[in-house]
Amino acid sequence: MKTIYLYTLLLTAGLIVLESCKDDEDNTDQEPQPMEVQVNLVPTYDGESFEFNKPFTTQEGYTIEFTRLNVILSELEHEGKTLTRSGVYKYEEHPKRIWRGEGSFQDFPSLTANVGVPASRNHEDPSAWEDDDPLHILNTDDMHWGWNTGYIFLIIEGKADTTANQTGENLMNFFYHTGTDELLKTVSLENLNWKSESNTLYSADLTVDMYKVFDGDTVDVDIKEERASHTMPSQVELSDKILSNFASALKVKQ
Amino acid sequence: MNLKFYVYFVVIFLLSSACRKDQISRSVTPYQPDVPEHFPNMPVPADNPMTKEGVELGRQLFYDERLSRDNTISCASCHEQKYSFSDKEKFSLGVDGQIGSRNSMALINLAWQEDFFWDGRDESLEEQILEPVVTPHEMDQSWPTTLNKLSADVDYRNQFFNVFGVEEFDSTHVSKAIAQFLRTLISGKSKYDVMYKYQNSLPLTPEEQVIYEQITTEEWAGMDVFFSLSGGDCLHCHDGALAHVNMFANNGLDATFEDAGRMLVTGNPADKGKFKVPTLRNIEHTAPYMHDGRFETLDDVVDHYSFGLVESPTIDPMMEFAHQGGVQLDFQERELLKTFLKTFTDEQFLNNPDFQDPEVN
Repeated sequence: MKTIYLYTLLLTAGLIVLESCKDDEDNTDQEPQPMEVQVNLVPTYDGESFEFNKPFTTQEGYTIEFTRLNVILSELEHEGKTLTRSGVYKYEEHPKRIWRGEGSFQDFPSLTANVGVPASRNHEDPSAWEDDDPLHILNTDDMHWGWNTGYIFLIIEGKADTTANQTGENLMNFFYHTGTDELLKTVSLENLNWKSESNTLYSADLTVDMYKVFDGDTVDVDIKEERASHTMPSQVELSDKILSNFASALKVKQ
Repeated sequence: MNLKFYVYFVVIFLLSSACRKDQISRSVTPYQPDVPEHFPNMPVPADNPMTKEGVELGRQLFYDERLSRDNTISCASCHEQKYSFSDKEKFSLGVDGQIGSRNSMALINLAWQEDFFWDGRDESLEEQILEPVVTPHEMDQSWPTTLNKLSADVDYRNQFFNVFGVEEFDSTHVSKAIAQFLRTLISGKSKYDVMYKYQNSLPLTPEEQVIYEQITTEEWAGMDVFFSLSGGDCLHCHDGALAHVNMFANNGLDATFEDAGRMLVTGNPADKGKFKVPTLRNIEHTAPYMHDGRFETLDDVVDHYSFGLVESPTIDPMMEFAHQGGVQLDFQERELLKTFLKTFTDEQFLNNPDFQDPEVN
């Protein structure tokens, strides 16, 4: 009897040892990974690959280089389903990604989206969003003017030589900081080309031809005369052209 | 009898060896940083959660001169609280009077910053802290020597064990502890903060209401100059609750560059002459100014942006009046702007006993 008792004690102690170190064991009953989607933006310039500080040529024959390209997209939706409320693209930080998160690509064969932030959310406390919300101030950083004016929807900065002789020595800065509620643009992105990146991740590429931001389908931007906008009252027209042309140039990449 | 003895021996051995880590007695208390309501949440790295004991250990290390080769220099030597954790030197003095090449940066609200040093060569506080100890013109001491010196102190050994659960601590534990302390250096109780909250209709506390009533007409007018695109045009780099954005900029100091700044890190000529945009908090107490400490007074700084901008290929597009030398503020506007800049002063920060040398406090 005593022997049985002792062996039982030994077995119990062994079980305690095994159980107490459970966190070091492999967990074979893993939760299934959630499906994720990623929406990308691939800028181009008149058919050329896009890079910062790479010289391109405008329709007028001017040399143009880009040093900054940031844009906020919001309300990415399809037939009442929301993929994400917002995504922030910053070429400098991530040359492709607008947004990545949980979702099923099959629910979003096409998308509608805003270039910018709708008025209903444009004037909220930028510090109060969830930390991982793209609109949180630490994620948008300087893409926020203030509570009254809200977010900067689209930032394009660079340099252009608009002189006649085009020696390459006369590159002068240009910048467009565009936003305000009235200039929100809506785009329709049909037939997204979802590609499998892994068992749980699908991605779709959008593209924007930066050439067409200046040589628009309906309006042109004269970079020689229209070099700067903070979307002040006297600059709203220029910001509107920039945002309209950008929205028109934003397409699904096939 | 033999069997009984054997079984008892095995049982005791197994139980005593079962997951030893759980049997270590440590006592740490989570630290809740005093983050102002109008600030974003504080980002804290998952591998370095803040504890009261970790913060206190970091504070002791921050003021410990044994981190330097000749035991004369601590972090606080170049980052004094009364100067908002910067110093008054153009270039700080290291061991043996060696001189660096960049101005000591103020240590304020570092938890919300993404890049460290004027050129942003480190992307975390924990990384940043490792550098000055071994840098010849700063503390000039290898980490093995530093660790030997600190390990000789039984109190440190006990504290590192308590905070991090390590019997032999290394440089990463030292940097983590100091980082925990540095994250507590929060400034959000200046007049500017009250002005920011008032302008954005955020409720003021009774204490803030008292401050609000002390804000002068000149300070409000200076704020207008600061944020006006046709005035000081300062908002592009110094905006929001934190009054700071994470970016590098060439702010028109030079046409050619002795110090290439950010380009030294990225290798990209487009970054030549760009430096981290510093916070303006407590700017009244952080002279001299700029990465090379070239400006001794706030007047010098305001004059630079008014008339002294120099164009160069990488000048920031937001320096849009550089072609005319600056924003051309008149005397009254410059005085108002200077008055506003002093609203960034946070006396509670400058005198907070929790930030002081524990040997003194």
